[in-house]
Amino acid sequence: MPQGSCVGVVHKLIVTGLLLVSFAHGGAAQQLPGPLSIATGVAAGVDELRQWDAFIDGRVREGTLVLVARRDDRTLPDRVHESLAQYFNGVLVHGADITRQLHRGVTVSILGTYHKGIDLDTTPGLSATDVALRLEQDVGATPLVDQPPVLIVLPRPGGSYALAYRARMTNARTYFVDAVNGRIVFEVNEVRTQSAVGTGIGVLGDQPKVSARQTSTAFQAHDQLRPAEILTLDLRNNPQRLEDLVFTPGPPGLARYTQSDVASDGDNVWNDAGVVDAHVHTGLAYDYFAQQQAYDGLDDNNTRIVGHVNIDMINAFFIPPPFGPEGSGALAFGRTPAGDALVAEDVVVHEVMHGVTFQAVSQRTGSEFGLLNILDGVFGPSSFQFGGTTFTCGSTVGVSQDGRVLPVLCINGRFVLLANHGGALNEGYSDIFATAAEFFLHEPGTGPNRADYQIGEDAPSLGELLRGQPGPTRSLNNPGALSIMPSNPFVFPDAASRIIHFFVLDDPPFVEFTSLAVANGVIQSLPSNDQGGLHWNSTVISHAFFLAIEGGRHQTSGVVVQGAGDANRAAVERAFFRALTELMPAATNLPLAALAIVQSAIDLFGETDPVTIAIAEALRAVELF
Amino acid sequence: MKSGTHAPRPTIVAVLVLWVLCAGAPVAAQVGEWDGRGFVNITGGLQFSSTDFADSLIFTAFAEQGNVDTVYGIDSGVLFDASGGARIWRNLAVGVGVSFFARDDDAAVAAQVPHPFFFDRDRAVIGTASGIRRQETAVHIQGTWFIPASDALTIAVFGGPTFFHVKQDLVTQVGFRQTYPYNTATFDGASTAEQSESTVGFNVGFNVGFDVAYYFSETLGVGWLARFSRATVDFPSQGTVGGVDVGGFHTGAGLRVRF
Repeated sequence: MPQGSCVGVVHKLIVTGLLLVSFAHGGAAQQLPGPLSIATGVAAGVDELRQWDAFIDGRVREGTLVLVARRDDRTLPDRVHESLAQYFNGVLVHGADITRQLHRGVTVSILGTYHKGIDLDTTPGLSATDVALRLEQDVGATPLVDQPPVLIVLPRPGGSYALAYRARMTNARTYFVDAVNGRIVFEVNEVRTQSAVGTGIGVLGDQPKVSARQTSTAFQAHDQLRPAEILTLDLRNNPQRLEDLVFTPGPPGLARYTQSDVASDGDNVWNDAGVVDAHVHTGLAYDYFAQQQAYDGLDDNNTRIVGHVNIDMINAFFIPPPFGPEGSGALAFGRTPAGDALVAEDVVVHEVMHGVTFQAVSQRTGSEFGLLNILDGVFGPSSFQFGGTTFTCGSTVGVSQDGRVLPVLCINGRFVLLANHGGALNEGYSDIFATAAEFFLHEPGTGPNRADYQIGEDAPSLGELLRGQPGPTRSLNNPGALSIMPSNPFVFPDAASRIIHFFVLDDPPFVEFTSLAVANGVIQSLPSNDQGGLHWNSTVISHAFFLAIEGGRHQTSGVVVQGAGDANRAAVERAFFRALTELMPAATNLPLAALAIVQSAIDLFGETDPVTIAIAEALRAVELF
Repeated sequence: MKSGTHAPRPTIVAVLVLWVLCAGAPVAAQVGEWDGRGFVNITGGLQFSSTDFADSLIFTAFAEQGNVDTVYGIDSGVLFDASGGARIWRNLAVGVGVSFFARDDDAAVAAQVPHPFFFDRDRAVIGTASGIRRQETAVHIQGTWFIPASDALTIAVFGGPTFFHVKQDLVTQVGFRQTYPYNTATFDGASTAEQSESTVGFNVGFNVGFDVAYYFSETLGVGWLARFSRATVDFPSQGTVGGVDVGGFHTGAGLRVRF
């Protein structure tokens, strides 16, 4: 099931979950009513921790919180992490989960979201079987094996709730279906995108070694030297093979590819630059996570990593299990319209990180989707002018993607402006660790095979594709220097107050993003909504990563950060990585992520350590902490 | 292959032999002519040479060239020698001697092994290859001048060309252990192959030396041999640079027969 898109032009709203968390960023923005956001740790004091601990224990006793998983910390001894999911009348509340960290049985931190005051009849109008049949008729796909539609409580903006089914389907999509009338209210694409040793010429003209396997007739792009084997399949732009191998689910471990699908070369001097770079860079990504984070492969269990090249898509992406040719997820690297393979090192690591994010979060929290696409937002104005017309709350309508005229969502006489925080967090983390890998593998500098804080700078036509000009697609050190689209006044945000929000259509039981966006007080209609700005808004968290290491005066907030410095780069990376792999709930918005990162640093280095202070300052500078 | 030796230097030995030859004539004149028709000497002893030589070979691994440098040290060892000859004129005899020398030694191996994933990130691998066998069979053609010091004591000085047949184990491949992430590798033995080479044609070596024999009967006696022989051979090793010295100074004692 595709898990999102990074490179391709996305036309469809793709949301894995909905959750509104109180979030004030000053100015005219006001908090939206919503669920209870819990974030407390050792820094909050023993009394507060005890209160939350008692709250959670009470909810566990009454059955509204259910322990999903309990795991030892991967790095810190005597630490245990519990993941709990919220249920209402036995029905799972979508996007409500909590992680609790304990040290020798004593609670150290609690992070997550809990919905109080749910008032809902949980008797569905349709059975799961009815929903499966309707979906089969409507979309021509069936639920995944052993995954029938799940009845869920779906939180809506403003603190209301609806009953829905959530169904992961064989067409690589997840559908949210109204439990009363069977209408599809959301369609989720799960793709996460971006964007015997031989030698070969890479896209940049360099000549890396290619870890290959020799057969009786050729050399195959099959790396058996790394603990997790890396296999690169050449789909030769055959859309049917793409569908069969990548977008079709299968049982884990059962290979559905043939030897002829494996990228091969006759003399082990490889000349398909796409194959070379995809294969080699996936190996380098493995190296970074294994050697710097002690994390083995996508799933920390060295399951074989399968990548695909020469696919007929303008995209690069990660697709989670049970999709992929072995049912264990897959990476895929397409091309730009100019024909350049999307296999630059940071692009590949970015996709690998999507796989790590998915596996780490889903294993720990039980989330079928990894990090959820948590929506967050603020109250907008009561009215606004656009194109010479005044639009007033309550009387403004928009047209949905399927042609229906729907009201633009207002609550308490104010427009509701939303952004996809969960998606932005996911993308930001992929950029952060694409950058971290660059610094692990290369000397700092500019140009090919040099470490910098740019994303996609070694794939010039990627910049042309996404922003209309060659160069990086995103910048971690100076996000605001790049416009999000060609000749567009919107730039990538460097702080929470600069996040690009969207007006949404009120489409009970859910909402639908429009492409009418607001940023820094400016309203404009965009060609797309980037699934709620998940790529565009990713630079808030990734800029914090930059500041935590390099320091500097934040351009928007004016906060001066004393960076941890290059000598502490690995420590900063470790704190960020551990926050994701140990602490963050599946439903994490950007502020909650910031709290998890700071908690992670405290756990690792202590409250007064310069690294912890640098991280906290950086997150404060970008207005997330 | 570059070689060096710690044996007595040839020039010194040659001077010694020449002195003996020159000094021997007056002695012979005083004592008289050697009246034997021929002789057979059986000697057991030691070859004292400590010859070092190095070999460097290049191999390809992980799509990149690596190299192995091996330093061979040939220490002293047991030698067996048998020689015989016949008088052709006055105190001069011609004959032939055959010596056999063999021993096993260690060789120091230092390799640069390419990294599986990256160019120009060789791993240093150091180890010792044991049981490296050197075997020399030398055929010494000798002209011998006998100097009878008394009825019982005879000194013989000799010299001539020597033909060597040498067998030498050479390291051909280095085994190594490596685990991910392969930033280091450790020595895991070396493969060797026996190379043999003979000195023929213009590559013939030489020998010089003397033998002191004490006869306790008309025909039987005991004697002490000191000989230096030397030649240079080129083994057909991939990385051979220069020649390898063979032979050296050897000495020993044994049975002497004259007739």
